[in-house]
Amino acid sequence: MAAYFALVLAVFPDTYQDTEIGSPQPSLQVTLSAQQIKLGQSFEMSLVATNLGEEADMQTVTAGFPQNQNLDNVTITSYDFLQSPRLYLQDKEVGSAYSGGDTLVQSKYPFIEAYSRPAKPDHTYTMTIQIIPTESGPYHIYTKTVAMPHVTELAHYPIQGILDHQNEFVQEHVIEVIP
Amino acid sequence: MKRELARRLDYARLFGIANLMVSFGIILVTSGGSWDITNHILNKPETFFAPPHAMLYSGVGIALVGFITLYISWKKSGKPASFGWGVKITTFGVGLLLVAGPVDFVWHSAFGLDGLLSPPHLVLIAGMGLTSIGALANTKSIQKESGKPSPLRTIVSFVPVWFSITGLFYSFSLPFSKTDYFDFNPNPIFAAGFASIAYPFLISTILISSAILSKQRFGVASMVGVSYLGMMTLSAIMPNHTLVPTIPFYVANIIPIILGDYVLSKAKNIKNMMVSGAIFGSAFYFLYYPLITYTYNEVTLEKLLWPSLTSLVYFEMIPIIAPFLIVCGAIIGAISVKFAQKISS
Repeated sequence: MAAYFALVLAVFPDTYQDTEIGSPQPSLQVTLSAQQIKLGQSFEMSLVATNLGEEADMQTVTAGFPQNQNLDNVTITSYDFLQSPRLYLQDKEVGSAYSGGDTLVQSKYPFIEAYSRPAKPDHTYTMTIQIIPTESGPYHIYTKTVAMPHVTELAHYPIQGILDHQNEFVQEHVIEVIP
Repeated sequence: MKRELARRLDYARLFGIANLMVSFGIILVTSGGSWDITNHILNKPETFFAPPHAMLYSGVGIALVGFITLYISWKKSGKPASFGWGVKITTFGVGLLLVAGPVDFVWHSAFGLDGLLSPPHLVLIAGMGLTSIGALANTKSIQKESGKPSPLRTIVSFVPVWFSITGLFYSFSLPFSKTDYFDFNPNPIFAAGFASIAYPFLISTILISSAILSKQRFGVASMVGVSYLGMMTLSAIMPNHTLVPTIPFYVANIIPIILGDYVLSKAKNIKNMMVSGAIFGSAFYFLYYPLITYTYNEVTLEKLLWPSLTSLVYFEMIPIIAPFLIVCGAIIGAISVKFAQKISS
């Protein structure tokens, strides 16, 4: 038994604690169908996510709508992520600062979160959404992708830029809506 | 008269085969269940139609065919009273298994992703447990009638009982039961306390009982333990690729199992048997790797446990809690020998 306890209490833990954790590297390509539209018209946004690093337990892709009160004017037209998308409205408890849900904040605007669990290396997942802006002027959309576990700075994209309501970096996309 | 006797003997043999089939079916059900837990951790399946469910319900099918054959052969051989209890318990267990399938499907349809502890899962686990216990009772009666222990029968009968009761204990010690609709997660302190008592008690009871049933023949308890380790490796470790390098660590658990079995095979009195129980119980924290990580993480490190971090968190907890759990497991394991003796006699 002494040999057994030496193995399970000392030898194996020492061996395994030196193991490096795989580092995922998510990337996101966003394409808009138009830069300018007339009020009442729709446009499409395509979000293509890839994991360029090692396997992630989960990869999320978020499209946030800071000018919206709800998601009534947003429709998902195509979707091939592994799990169903989650729709969040404002004033909901959401994860923040890449903590994977450990630190919660209140959402300030609605957003859609697509996710794949797990996210294997070099696999591509796509979500296309159709949006009909309800007011004229510049219409803003925030996008980002995050891989979990969040072990390095490369586990989120973009790696810098504007911080959103979840205290995470986002890419901003603007469509001009003319009256 | 001779023909009648021969016919009864044939049915008795068929009863024995059918009983093995019932146990084997439950082994598939429980392995599928263990794989399903891992699949939920890794892949968050959103549909009832997942590969682990296919394995699980194939097991139900095999257990059902086995049960029908068992019941017919029992009836045709003149309903011997010695098998009455075993057949009754198996009948009730199979009934619960049959109810659990449709209820589970309806629950999935209504509430989507379900947690580990849910009404249909409890029915399923109760069905698994009772069916396997009924088959074990039949095995005991078969061996009593024939007068000689059968190692194969003993091993095949004990493994599903071990796994079924483990499933029940998982439900009350793992934080996997919170969904969008319900929060059935156990209180973390209760879960840790429960695990510290229930798991060593179960390991010791199963291994000691299997040895007693085989007249303390060396090798039987070891084979029950090896079967358990093999099934856990296949269903809980291998599906998570980040845990595959830790298989040598998990396989090392064969050491206390063989050692405890050896002590048991030489045991002349209850004190020797208690030493063996203590050896088995002391290894529970290691035998219940990797899922036990979730139970004790809640009361120690409180880290966010992603599947790829499971082994790191587990090994990080070892210096914090393992010494205490080894002592606790040894005491519980030794005490449970009395219980094992009682149920085996």
